[in-house]
Amino acid sequence: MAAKLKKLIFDSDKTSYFLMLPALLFAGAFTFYPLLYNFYLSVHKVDISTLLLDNRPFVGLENYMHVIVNSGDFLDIFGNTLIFVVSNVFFQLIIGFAFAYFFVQKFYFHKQMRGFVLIGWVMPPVIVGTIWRWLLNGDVGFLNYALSFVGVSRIPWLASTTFAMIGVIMANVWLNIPFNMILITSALVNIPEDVKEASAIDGASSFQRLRLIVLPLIKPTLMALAVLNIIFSFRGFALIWSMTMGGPVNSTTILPVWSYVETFNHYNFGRGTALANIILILLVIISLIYIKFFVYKEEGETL
Amino acid sequence: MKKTILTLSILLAFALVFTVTPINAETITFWHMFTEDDPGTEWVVDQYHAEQDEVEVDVRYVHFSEIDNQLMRALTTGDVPDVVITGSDVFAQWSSMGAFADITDRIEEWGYADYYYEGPMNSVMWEGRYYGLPQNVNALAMFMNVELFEEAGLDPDSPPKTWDEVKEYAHQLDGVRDNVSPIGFSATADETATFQFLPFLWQAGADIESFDSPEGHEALSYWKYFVDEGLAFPEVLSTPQWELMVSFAAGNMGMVVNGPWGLVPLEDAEFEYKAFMMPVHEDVGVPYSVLGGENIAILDGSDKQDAAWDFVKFTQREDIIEEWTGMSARIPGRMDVAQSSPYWTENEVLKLFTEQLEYAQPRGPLPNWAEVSSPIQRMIQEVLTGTDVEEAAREGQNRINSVME
Repeated sequence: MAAKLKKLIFDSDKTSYFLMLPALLFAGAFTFYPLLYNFYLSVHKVDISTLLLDNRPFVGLENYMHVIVNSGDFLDIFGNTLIFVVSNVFFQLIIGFAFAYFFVQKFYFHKQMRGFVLIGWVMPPVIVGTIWRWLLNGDVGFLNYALSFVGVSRIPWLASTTFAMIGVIMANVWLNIPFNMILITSALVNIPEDVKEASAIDGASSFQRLRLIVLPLIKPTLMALAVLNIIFSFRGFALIWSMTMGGPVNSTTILPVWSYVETFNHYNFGRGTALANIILILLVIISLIYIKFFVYKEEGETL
Repeated sequence: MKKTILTLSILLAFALVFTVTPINAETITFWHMFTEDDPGTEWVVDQYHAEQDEVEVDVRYVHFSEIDNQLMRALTTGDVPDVVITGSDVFAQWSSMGAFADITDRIEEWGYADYYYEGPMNSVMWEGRYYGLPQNVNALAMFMNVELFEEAGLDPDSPPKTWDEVKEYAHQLDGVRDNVSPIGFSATADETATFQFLPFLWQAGADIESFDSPEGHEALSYWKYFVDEGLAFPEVLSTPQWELMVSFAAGNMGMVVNGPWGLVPLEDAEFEYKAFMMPVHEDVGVPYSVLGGENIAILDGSDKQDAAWDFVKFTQREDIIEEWTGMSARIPGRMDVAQSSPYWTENEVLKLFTEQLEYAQPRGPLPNWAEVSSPIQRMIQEVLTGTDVEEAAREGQNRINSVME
């Protein structure tokens, strides 16, 4: 019996399932169960009046209706989210690429200096947010002090509905540049030397080499990075919360911040999880687009 | 053989670890939101342990911005602490959802309910029953930088008493020194904005059901005036109360709206300061303030409620509550203690706060106060960033009404 079982587990055509079992159990407990529970919460009335009850009233899609239609804030906050995400992806890629391209050049201490740039990335977002809140302070902040030398007068960064979003984007871009830099660096060093040499012999200028050789070769990395940046931007909550708490007047409230406020300030778990599920659906759509248009193509090209 | 010795030593190690805890003492868990090294809290627990050995208190500090979330998590999992301290503004939320134990009978048997301030005592009541006791109470009043007052040619002994006088004084203080803001208040996108604004709303003769009235508009315009005229930093929108006080203590402000906890950053101040009463609106004439503070409660889910009550009752004894709050620059919920102990009668600032407390009104009590407060915060921020006052008040009132039903 024992020998049979041993054979079934370690040496049969079903062995692969047994090997997957630990991972499946883990994913089940920590990914699928929370997802299903989130869905359960989002279609029930779960707030302080019903939280400790055994049967919470089923309300169908009412929570979704409330946040999308009745609250009247969905379009504004969705717009904020779009601005936040798109700006982050754009600036993180461009600046990350610039840093990576600069530090792959061989000069003294280029590796050590690249290491220094990474320090920013290992700092917790809450600390980064607090530091940036002081940098952006209208009166005693460093940024306004620096800007005063070029004749720009006092900007009330985080106290203005127009500038606050720019402020949190700057902080978030700063926080994520090192990650972009590292991934782009590894793509850059993997470009075969002979391709670069061949293009140099053919007389390509450095700009042509960048445009025609380097960028096409690291495109798969850039695409994957763009998707990661989108997903990471949705995790900008900690940074925004420590800088503005979504204010002034919702101007820096993105969907995850709203979800947090509904869940943990108003204890309206139904609405909070409805928002969380909307975020999930958006991210799944983005990931599917990425897989459909970029992953297969990438394989086809490289094979 | 080697294996046996190893197994035995591991077993022995486990046995040692688990026998250290004494079996005869009952351990209760106590969550508080004061700072990690709060001198009063440390003292009160030490004192309790010194006086008896039946109950042991396991103290856990939770940051005040996290304690409600931690409590909510504890309630949903059922693994709750035995005693907790939480804000009086959200207290009704917990009592209404059945989180706290009904201690009405215990309080009546104990017989000290009449010794507390009335407003705070209302905040621990839900549907006529008691669910806790006020640990400390506070209110907002105003502080002045005496040095700056004198430089501006103002008499620090006659602080501004009316809305107009506050405006006049602020103008006088304007430009006395570089980078000095005449007046400071806090309107961050959380409960702080509501807390700091409500006194002015009440002073104007409005309340949270009448933002969209001439009185409500006037209150909103009053704050807007200081920001528009450059008498208050636009950063009032992103500066929490505590940081505001740190800034005042650094000499960057002429007057500031703050609470008794402001004395802590002021310990390092290199100038003389004074506290004074909230101003009155000429038409109403009452220096209203807002009631803050924290209540202590026993969790309904606790299976050691008798031990928990023993500890709670101990903390509320005259000599204990006096030290607990006095050491940490707070004001006790027990009015008899606040009005007789030298902690509050001999400290000019705290004495003023015990007087200001007589005009302090509670928020709510409403079970969904946080949800009601949200549109108020938004309205204040809208007005301070340039939205038309009447428009903001109208929309804000609609939002408030929709969550009040």
